[in-house]
Amino acid sequence: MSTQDELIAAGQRNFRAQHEPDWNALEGLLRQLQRGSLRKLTLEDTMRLPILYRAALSSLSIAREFSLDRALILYLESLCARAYFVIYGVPVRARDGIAQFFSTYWAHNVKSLWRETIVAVLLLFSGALVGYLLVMHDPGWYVSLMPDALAEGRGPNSSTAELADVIYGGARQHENMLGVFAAFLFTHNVEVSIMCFALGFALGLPTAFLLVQNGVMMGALIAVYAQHHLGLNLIGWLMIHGTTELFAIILAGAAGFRIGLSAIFPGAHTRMASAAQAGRATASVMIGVMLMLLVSGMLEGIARQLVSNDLARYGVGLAMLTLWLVYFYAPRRLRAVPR
Amino acid sequence: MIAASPALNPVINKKIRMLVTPEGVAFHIEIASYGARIAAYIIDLILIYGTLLVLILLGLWLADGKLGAWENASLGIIGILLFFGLRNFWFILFEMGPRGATPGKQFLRLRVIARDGGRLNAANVVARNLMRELEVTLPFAFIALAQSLYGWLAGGWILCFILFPLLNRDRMRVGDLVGGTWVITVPRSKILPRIGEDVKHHPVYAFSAAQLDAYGAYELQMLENILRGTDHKALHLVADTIRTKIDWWENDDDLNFLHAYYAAVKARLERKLLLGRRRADKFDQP
Repeated sequence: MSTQDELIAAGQRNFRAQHEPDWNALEGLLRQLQRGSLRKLTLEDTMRLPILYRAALSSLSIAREFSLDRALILYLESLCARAYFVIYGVPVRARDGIAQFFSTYWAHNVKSLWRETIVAVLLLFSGALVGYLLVMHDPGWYVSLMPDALAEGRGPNSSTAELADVIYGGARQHENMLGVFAAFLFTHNVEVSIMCFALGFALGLPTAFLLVQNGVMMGALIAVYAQHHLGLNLIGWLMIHGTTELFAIILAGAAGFRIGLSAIFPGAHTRMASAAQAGRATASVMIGVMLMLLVSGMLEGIARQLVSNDLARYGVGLAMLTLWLVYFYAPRRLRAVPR
Repeated sequence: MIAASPALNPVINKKIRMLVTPEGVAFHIEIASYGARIAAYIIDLILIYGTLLVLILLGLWLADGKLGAWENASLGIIGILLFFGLRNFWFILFEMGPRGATPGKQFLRLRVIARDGGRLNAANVVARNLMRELEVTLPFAFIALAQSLYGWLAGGWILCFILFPLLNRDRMRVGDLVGGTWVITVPRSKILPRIGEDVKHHPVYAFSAAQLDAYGAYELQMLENILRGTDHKALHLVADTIRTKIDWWENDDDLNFLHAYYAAVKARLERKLLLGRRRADKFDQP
């Protein structure tokens, strides 16, 4: 080996000897992070992390340029990758994230879905109209439109008293189980809304089907009550929680449509980038949908059973609707919207 | 830049992707296999339902028939919400944590990352996990209901989503596509000692320039691979191949010879590197 080669080999050894303590320090910090949380790091360590990370990145760049030691390059690559995941993988502090979500993010994304929301509203209510007209025309339709589980024994053959009992007898029926009922309704509705959202990926068709189907069932039920002149009373019974619940389901459907549309019409982006963008925007809408369903579950499971006055039921329902509309669509000063 | 090893060479290993950090440095990451993903999912399912079972048994043991209606109702609420929460938020909360992985994924050394190389945020994680409803829950619901032709058709159609990861290069499920994420294998890192240092002063090993120019960087790193391994047969074979190629007829120990030759070639190639001349492999002109 020539003297020149000796010198270079010495330089390589020096490079490694000089930087290895930094790499080891980074490695130690990473291991500490993997075990515990970010909070357990001292302030000093937190400040050192990005510095050590950049030092390792620069070591990697240098090593790639002048070293042929495969083990060294592989080691640095994996060290940098691990540090990178830690530094760019940890989301914002939970408190900031939640504040951002409520102040801008949620409403902004709901608003950006307005076209899909209109379509979902039209589907749901045209379904309701069809269901209503069919059952008004021929009560025989009711049996084929309504699954047994949801009919709760109500049908065209029920007496007026039986029908009224469902609407007004809530508190007596459930007694202690109101909370359980609310929890069950909440989880059930969330599953439906997630399904509505996820099915949007299948080009949005199953989502549209789900919306229309739910509309038809609602319309059919209203028709049965209307024939007994209890239509408005039923609407009050549905509305106390329904404005919140249906709004949530409509938003979930709209989010699903957005996913489907982004796959069919990616626009200027690649199909993959477009789907990812839609997923990011709609995911926050879906978190909001779950919160709305939590509210509606409590309204349905508890408030509806306790409030049996029609006027009060309408009042609560309309107040909730106004609240949501103002929160989502009222113009607000747009701060920088986080991605 | 050349890939440092065949395992990380995108041409040879189809699961390697390049990720460019915001600092502008590119590095290789390895997409996790379908098998590992399924195994991780099964582990998570076992953990979720195991936790649930333990909690239910605990609840029943605590209740023990002595509770009033109100306590029973509270336990009912807690149970329903717990089942719901574990089923839906197990994945979301764990993947939002510093490790970006559920316990099942951690066990298999997997992790979720954002496909664009940016920060993985809550929206990515939520989107990828809500889509699971379409991919797993729905097919099983259909299979359970599949007594009619309609059921089978719907089930078959939905089955496409389970197989979706096998139909794209990046092993993405629908959730990954919509969430903008990849699931990758977390690299292991262990620094290995330099090799070929201890024999370099041996006077026997004075290779000529022509002998050192027989190979390039690729062959050098293959040799490093062999030297760090434990396959003695391969060592012997490689030593003989090199001896023939460079006309080296000393009757010496394979290991010593290879170490010395490795060190000499490496030093020569690295010197050329410093002068701005990278010799990628033996077909490259020296």
